[in-house]
Amino acid sequence: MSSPAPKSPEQSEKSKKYDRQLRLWGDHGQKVLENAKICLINATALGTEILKSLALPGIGSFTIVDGEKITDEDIGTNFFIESDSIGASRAQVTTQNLLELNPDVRGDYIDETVDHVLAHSQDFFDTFSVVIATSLPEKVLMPLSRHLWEKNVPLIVCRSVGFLGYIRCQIKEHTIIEAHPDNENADLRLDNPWPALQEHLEKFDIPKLDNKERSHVPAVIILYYYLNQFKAEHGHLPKTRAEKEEIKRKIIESPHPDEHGIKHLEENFKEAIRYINTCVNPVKIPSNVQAILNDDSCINLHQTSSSFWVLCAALKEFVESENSLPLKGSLPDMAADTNSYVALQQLYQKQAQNQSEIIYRRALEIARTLGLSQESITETEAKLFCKYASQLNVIRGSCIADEYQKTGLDFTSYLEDPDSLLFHYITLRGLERFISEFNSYPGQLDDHVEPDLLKLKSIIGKLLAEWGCSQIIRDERVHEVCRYGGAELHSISAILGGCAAQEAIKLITSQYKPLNNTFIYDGITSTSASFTL
Amino acid sequence: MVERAAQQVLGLTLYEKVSTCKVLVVGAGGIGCEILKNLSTTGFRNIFLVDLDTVDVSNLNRQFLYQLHQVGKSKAEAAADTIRSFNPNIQITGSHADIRSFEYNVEFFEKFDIVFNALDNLSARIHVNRMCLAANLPLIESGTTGYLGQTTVIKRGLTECFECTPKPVPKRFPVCTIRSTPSLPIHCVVWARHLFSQLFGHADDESAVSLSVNAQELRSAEHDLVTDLPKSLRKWAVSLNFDPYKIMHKLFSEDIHTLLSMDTLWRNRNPPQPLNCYAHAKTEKVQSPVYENPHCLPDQSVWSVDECVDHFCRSIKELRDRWEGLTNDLTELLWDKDDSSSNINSSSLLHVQLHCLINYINLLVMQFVTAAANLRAYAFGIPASNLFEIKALAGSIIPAIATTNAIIAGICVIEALHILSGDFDKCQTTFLKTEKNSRNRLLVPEKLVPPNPKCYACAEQPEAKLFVNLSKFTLEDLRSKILIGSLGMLAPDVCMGPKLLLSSEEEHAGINKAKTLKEVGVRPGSLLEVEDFLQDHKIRLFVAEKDTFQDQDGFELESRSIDSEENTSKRPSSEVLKRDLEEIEENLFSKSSALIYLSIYLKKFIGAGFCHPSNEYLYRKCCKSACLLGWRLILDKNAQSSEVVKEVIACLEDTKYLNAGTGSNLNMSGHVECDASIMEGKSGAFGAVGCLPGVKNPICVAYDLMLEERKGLLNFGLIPPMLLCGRAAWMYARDRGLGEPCNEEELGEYLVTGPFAV
Repeated sequence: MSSPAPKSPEQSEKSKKYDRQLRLWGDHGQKVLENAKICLINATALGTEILKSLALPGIGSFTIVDGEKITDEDIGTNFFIESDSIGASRAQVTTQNLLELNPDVRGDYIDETVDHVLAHSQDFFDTFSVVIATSLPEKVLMPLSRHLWEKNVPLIVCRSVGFLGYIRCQIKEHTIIEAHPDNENADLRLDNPWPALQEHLEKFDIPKLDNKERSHVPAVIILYYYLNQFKAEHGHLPKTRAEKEEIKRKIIESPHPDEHGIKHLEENFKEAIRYINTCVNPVKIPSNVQAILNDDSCINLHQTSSSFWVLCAALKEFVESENSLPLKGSLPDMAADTNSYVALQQLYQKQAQNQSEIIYRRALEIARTLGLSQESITETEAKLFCKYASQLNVIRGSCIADEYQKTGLDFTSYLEDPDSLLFHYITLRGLERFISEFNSYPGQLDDHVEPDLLKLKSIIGKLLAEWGCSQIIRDERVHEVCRYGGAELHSISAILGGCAAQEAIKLITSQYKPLNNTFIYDGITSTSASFTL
Repeated sequence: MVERAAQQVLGLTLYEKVSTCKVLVVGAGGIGCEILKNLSTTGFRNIFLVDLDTVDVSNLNRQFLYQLHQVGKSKAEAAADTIRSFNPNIQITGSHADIRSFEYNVEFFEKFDIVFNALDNLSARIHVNRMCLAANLPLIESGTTGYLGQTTVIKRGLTECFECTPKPVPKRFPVCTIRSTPSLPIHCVVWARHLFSQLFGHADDESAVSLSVNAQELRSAEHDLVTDLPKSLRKWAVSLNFDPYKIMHKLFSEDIHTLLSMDTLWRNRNPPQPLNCYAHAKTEKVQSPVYENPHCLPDQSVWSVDECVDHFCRSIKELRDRWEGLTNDLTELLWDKDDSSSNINSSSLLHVQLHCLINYINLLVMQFVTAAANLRAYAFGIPASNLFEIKALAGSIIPAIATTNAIIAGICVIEALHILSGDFDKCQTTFLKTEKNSRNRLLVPEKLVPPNPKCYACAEQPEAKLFVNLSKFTLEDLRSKILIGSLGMLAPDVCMGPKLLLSSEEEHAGINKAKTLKEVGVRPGSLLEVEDFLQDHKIRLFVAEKDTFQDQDGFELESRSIDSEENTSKRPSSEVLKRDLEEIEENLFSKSSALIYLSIYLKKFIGAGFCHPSNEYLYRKCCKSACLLGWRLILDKNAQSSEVVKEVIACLEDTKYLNAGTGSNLNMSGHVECDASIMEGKSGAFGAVGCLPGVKNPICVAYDLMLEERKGLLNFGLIPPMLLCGRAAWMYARDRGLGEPCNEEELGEYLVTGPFAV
């Protein structure tokens, strides 16, 4: 039996298993994911749900930090804990069960509380790609948040209680090359073609072509011809709608009439008309990219600058000399004969390659002068960077500890709406402080409900006073939280777990824009909202 | 107390309902697994699971109830086992079956309280929708693609059902595009899939795009082709013992030459270039191709012509061997939807040891399809694609990830809790987006929409009008294209009066499905009663002739709401008659008052614009004739008052002496533009047009708008337009065939004010 295809079995199996997700974030995204190290603090139902959604797509490894022992409460809600494991280490049992999900993922656990780990080996958390924490009391969250902020390790804090839940991302600086915007225009550079393209485009004299030749010309060439004609007549490119309509009319009138005097417009000419609206505008540097190029991190590089910023510095020089971003290099499908299309495609590809080469080399030089390792920038990364240069994104979040310590937070504008989900955030913040102060959930013990209710109310009142908010929280909201007694409803944890894992994947792969910074879900009304706090 | 948490959060009453309610989950894929896990940890105790598939390797990245050692086993059974092992208190039954099979009838559905749909295919979704409508059960529908997801709740009479809004049918391409004039990679892939079915699969009913049929039809159409192609491609291939070069030569050279000979095809298209496959033959160098980009997975490099030829040869030979070897137990190799190995000869259960073999065959099939599609692409000057892309194109593979499924399934269970706690008004449709939208929401909620009264599935008495060419359209076309293909039925029976035209039972005596509708006595205006007993679903089809459809491929279905005007007039029962009488009385009253108003109105109407006193006689004449017309309509034809008003105004518009319709004054740029509006006092419906050029009777357009408005909301709950202006109004009139619109050159010519008879 001859072999069907020359491929290594391991690679083929892997690409098969991850087939459906490779279609979203590509091989390079998968590669980053497979090198990611995740730390989960507290393997609650929510925590394991998050890890489940990260282990399935194949993260490199995870570490669970959890000093708790399994209680009967865990068993009902946590799918990854069997009913016969009461009293065992929660970190150990969940680690074992999560590892069964995906043999490619490695995992270990630390059967200690997070305060203990923080107190004894602070730098333990520094090497993780993302740290995820659930059900953390305020007094532990504060030092953890502060520490990870300094080390620039992203932190995702989540809590699920009863029908409520929230996710808070702490990102110091996050750079995105592939933001995957919904709509992208083709980058054709017809307003200002480089010499090789110009030479190629000018080879064609559209009115002199016979019918057969006409049907072979790619739309780009057709469009260029009429643009040029317009420019010769008017001295500039078409800007207004009316001017674009004029070009459109010329293209519509261009075909040779058939024996009945009727003009049939060929498919490629129709395509050219479609490109008029999107691809004729002069290529400008988008303001978000310009802002990144003028960013302090781009101008003042230092030894700890990331490859993204080194590439940005190289891009900045490129933009200053060329006055445009590097060419994307992809040519959309168009009706044309193979040879003409391929010739054109190669021109675009080659130019894009040349330009990314220039930027890559320059970036390497910059890295060398800074004393950075040459391996820190790869050619693949540089290529992607140039291809998506118009979509670059930098997100700078805020430190949770800062927010918690800040007095006079201004929620007033959000709280004008009596149904704003931010009210839940405030009750949940109250809940966190309650746990820190009393070491238990309000309403956890059946005979404590009433006193707990009063305590929680006064804590929330104090919080609101600290922020200088005049609003009050409705009693039933506080009642509701006390009624839960700290219990998690699995389905709510599943929803939040999915959302948190999605954000973690965005952060790890540096693709798509992540949440900045707070997401709140209310299962009673099935509503959600995001806020930047 | 194992479920203390759920108990505490849900409260005792709801917890009680949750733990006793019976749940049906259809589908144990990505969302299904998550739903099962959520149900089992939220306190649900009675679960019945149905899934047709078996576990595949590509499921493991998100369907966490399965592990590698379960690959090849029934998903339903494996999932039930896993759930049971985590929570022994749960009564869960997993059934490896098709939900569309007869054992799952309405009585079966009625045993449940809530149904979850976690399916990946449209036809099963439609079926479950109908079963839930029939059993009056709440259905929670869900779906995901990539980062996007959606859930909604369906309940008969309260919400839109799954079929209330038309669903995008899986994209079909015009047959001639696939056969003769491909222009996109997908066209080539579809062609290659059909080629595979032709050679190794079963005679795929829908995909009869065989090259032989192709040539025959082309011949019958207009082209006189002198190529003698074998009747069956497979027979021909067998006779050659599947010699790859001969097959390739025919497909990519001879056939292309044949197509080239039809020069009308290539007048506005790029003609293809025949490939000389022999020239690419036997280079032997592609045994271990070096991939130029080491970062690129082997599936993701695009094969050159040489590589395609090589892969074509190898895969066709191996497929031939398999095919010949397997003919005893498995008569055909089936196209595989989802890499999953379940669909080999759907009835034959798969053994695990067969699994490796099947996977290997799947790979071969993919290679064959990729090679054939790319060779065709090269011939037609279409960019070639890699295996990874072709898989997506061929099987419409949808990207899927664990996180989206987790979120969506969580929301599904929350909706179930709303239903159980009796808060149906809290249920909603939820969309999951990639990034938060402008209103700061990652999860976008939408109110549930009330049912569409025109829906084929959930309307009180669904009806549709069917336009076909009666002398071409056969009973089999009616069954496969209309009833199964468009109306989503499974086993329809069709009656015309007492006569049974089609039976769901095989081989019913006296039924010849090949007969045309005309031959079995169907005439324009005939009423066909269609019923699917399994779905407990009835629909009435009114047949109309449309001979512009040249052949049996053409048909048109138009839904009719039961409260449309034609129907009310047809109701025969005495009770209805009484109501009609009352209506007539009421109408008469409103009509006579309308006429009084009419005469006042007419005076004003005529008074608009410049009126020369010497023309008074003419104006009076017009007015009188219009009033007479109105009376005639009321007395002789018992017309509705709004219709009378419309006709009277149309009559006035047609008079060239009045400044309306024909005879309008010109506007400043020298054209005629008319306005008209009409409102019905009883229903409050209103229709108006403004600045409408080129239509003789603008009032007819306004009236039509009003009628449309009276019919209620459009699809997706859109409000029909009430006021249309200028070009939009003109286009609307043209599309609806109203008031003889003329073309743009003629605009305003006959509308200009007529000569005065001074």
